[in-house]
Amino acid sequence: METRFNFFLKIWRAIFKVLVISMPILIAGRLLGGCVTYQVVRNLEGTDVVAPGDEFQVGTTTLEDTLALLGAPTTVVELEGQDLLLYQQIVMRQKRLSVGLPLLNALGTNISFSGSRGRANYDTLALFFTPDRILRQVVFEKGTSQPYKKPTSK
Amino acid sequence: MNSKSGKLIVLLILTFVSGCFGFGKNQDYQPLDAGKLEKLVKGQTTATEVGALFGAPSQVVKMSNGNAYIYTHSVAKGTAVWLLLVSFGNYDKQYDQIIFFFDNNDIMTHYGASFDARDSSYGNPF
Repeated sequence: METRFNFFLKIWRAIFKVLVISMPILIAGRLLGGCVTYQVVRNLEGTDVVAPGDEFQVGTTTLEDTLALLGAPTTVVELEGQDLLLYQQIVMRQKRLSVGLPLLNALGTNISFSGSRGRANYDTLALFFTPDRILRQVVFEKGTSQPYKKPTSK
Repeated sequence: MNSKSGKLIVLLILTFVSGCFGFGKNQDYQPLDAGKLEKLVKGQTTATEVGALFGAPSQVVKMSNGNAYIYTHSVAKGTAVWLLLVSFGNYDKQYDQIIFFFDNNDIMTHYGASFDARDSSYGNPF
């Protein structure tokens, strides 16, 4: 009888030790979970935009050729007698850190701090056409190859 | 490593890795039927006929020598992982798009079509 009692006593002591160690961690984790958050979000919109090749010749390539090669542009704009076709892909990265004190909610006040950093990079191919729909100008920029962090120069 | 520190590490991992995973899909506008493009004839089909086939355009743009009707359908897929203190998300939005160019007499002269919405994917959030 006494042996069995000692056995249960040992088990109970072991459980108590685990609870003593784990409770502060679990409580701290739950509290921190409500007030400290760090978000990392990546947003991709549109398909790849490739650099224009030799098939695009100013003065000869037509709007029809362009549409057959590249498909529908992202958007079209009329600019003082010229038609602009824009092909675009957007890659956006955002990081956000929030720190708050939810314990103060019970008191009717809430203190929170947050900071975010985001960057949207664009791959853009801009094709300008005359009213006769002949290619007049080509502009291409590969923005998504830029690093997320701006390189620092010394 | 003694048993106490081992338990502590397990508890720390369980505490900070607890979280959940989510994913979602969002669509804008009606899906576009590529098969209807075969019914169109450049230089003959009118803006009215295009409207009858595809419905109201998402956008109409005034061009230098006519108008452009833009039909869009987008599919966006997102994935997210919430850990205790950190969350990661990935969002991918792709488009089906048809742009019809009309002259000043509302006759379709050109069109361009891209069908990429199906390429939208549930990407890795990390």
